[in-house]
Amino acid sequence: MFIADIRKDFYEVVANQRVVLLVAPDIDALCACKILQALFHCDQIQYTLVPVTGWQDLGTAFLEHKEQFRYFVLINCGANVDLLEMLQPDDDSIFFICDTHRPVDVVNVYNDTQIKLLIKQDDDLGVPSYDDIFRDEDEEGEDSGNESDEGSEPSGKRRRFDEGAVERRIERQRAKREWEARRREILFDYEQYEYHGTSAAMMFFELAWVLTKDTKDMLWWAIIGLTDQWVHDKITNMKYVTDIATMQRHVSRHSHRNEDEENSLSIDCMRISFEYDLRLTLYQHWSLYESICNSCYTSCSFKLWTLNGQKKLQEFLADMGLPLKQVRQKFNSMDMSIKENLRDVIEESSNKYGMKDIRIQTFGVHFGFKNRFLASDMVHATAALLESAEKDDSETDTFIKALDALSRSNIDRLHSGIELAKKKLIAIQQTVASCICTNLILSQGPFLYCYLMEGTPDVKLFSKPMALTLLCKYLLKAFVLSTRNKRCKLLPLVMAAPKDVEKGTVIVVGIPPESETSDKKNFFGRAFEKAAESTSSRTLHDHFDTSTNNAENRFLDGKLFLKFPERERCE
Amino acid sequence: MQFPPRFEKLYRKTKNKNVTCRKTAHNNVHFCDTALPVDDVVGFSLPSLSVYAAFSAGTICSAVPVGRKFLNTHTKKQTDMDPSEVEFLAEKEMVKIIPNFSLDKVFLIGGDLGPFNPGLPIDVPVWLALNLKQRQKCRIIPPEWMDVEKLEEMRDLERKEDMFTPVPSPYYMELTKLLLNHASDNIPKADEIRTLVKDIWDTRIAKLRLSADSFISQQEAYAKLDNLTLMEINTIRAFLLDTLNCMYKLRSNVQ
Repeated sequence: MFIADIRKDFYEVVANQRVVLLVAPDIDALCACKILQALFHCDQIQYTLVPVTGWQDLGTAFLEHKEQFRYFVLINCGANVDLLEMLQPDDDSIFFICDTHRPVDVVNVYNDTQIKLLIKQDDDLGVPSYDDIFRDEDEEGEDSGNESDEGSEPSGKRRRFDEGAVERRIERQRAKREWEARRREILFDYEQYEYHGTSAAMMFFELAWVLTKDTKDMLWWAIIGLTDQWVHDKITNMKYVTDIATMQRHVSRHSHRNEDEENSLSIDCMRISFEYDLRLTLYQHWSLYESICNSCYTSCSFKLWTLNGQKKLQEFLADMGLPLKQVRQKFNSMDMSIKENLRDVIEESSNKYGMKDIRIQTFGVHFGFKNRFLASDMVHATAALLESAEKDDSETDTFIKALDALSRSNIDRLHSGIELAKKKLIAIQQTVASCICTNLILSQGPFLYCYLMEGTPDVKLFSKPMALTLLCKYLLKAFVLSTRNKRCKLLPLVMAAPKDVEKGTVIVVGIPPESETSDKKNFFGRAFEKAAESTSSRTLHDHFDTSTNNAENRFLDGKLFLKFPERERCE
Repeated sequence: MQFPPRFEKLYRKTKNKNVTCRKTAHNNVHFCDTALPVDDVVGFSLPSLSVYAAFSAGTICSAVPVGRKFLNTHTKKQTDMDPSEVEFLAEKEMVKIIPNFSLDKVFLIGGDLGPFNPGLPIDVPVWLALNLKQRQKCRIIPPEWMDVEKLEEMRDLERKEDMFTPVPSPYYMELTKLLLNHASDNIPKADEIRTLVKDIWDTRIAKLRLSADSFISQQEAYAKLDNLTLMEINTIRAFLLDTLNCMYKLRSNVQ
């Protein structure tokens, strides 16, 4: 059931208890976890933090902890399956779920005792009403009761009553069949597309705000959670802009607290500011040239994998009057005169080259004399740390490292994350360029398909879901811009990369077609399940995102049998 | 710290214990016969077997052990206090806070902490103030001396005088560091305060070094240093003791 008052029904319930935090491996969940940890530290609530990477992990963690703990908080996992059936908990276990995955499973919505959803009810949910799906079983008993009663009647009357009873029974059965058919249709409509709702970090920030324990650190983490949803393309532009406006109100509330002439704040205090900044990834920690070459938006607009594209880039730089030597230097060492009006100059020139959205609304933070970061920088750095392909690090280790990088006292880790993110972006661009140039994308009827061979450079980076999804999106954008086939531009893309060479497993990701105003709804969850059934190969639908799954190599042969639902929601 | 064997025992017995001492008649200082806690043994002088002892008030004087019966037998081996120990002692100082919660009077071994009411200022020890601040349960009010104009005056006075001037608080350095690290958003002009306190500290340490240098080179038997704080003594303690000891060894070997 949905929680009405998050302070009374969640925080005060767990205030004197020990809780288990089960956190999914994405940046939004990490930020939400940080905010919740800070709140727990203030009030000295004992908790156990368990990172979980998939449904199996979740089940194992639950079994380990179910004896000692009653309260479980799930962050970014668990809303889109029937949790009670999956975990089989005892009657006194209570689950608080704060998850961005939609659609929320109907059992989770209508369970009153054990499942509490920390989700706002007006969050564009479209949950079917109770009567359409659940039906009391009493009516069955009524029928058989009547029959047994009537069995004791004298035979004459029985015949007449029998006919009436039979008719009523037939009528009831027909109504039931209709109801069930309608129920199936409603559920199918409700559950066919997967999409994402409000960021979990923002939900917990609101909790902190209601408790008046919100600090600038927590606000910054909430902003990073929201930006993660935008960077990884999980929410629509409209929703992003609306949420940015909400955050902007909080930012102005915090920054006017003690800033005036006489009481200026120490330089070490954190200052968050609203920025209408460029869409070039990591450009303040890199050189401008590298950033333009490796950001998806600019690289695809110029088509930098072709010679023509390179020439256009040189023209673009010349148009702005930026000397090549300056542009290839580290951003911090560029001339001040160039840096001053950089954003406006770039916006003007990019309009001429057809890039209308080079600037995006975001936030930046600034503390101490040296440290300035944009929210998207933090997202890329933390994502690179979370999915770093080090051999010695288990997944828990990378999780903890990424979590640490979000604190202000671990700037070194954040910088190392930025370096890893740069390598990851370069790898993505090179892979995209090579895929397009060597025509690795095949059109398989209803969808496009690409398989990364084992020998591809940096393929280890792409055995992780977030990196592979990012590559997939960039690749589709680039393909749509470079192909002449009109039909292919409207097709979705399925991508596979080797996950574990010894076991012969691959990780498969599917994304919907590229369009200007997509509503970011993904139908691959159901499609993969059907394909797995039809090829009877072993698949592990382990990830919390249903559009990603692990499979064995045989699964790829079954691709041809994938059939998609008739209606395609891509306006 | 190495002593010749016959003095080693005496050193161990004298250190950190109460001894009857007499301030020697140098530079118009009166005699006094009191039992004072010896902070550390600075050195020995051969003729009268007198012990140079440093007291925590910053006075270095010579002590004459009147008899062994006055010396205790437990000793401590360390010659230095860790700066974190000094900080720990500093955390007992009181500071004003404004809590945002309410709590009845708390009875602790070290004293009572009076009832907490939201919005009403109350004096608490620094360790509690910092803990509450980190849990976002209070707002810290900077002590009166932590003000830009007052500190500027003190710094100028310190630079003018040869002797040490009175300090704003016996733990000014530690309190500045603790409060500015954890509660800099409650303290106006925190950066300037940090710079001013560092200036005062630097001037005082320079004076201390100069006086230690002249004490050693002129082979004085007595030096009077008022208004030194524990942290400042702590910075010079190990070095000065070692130096005097070396000097003694050199002198005794030459003779």
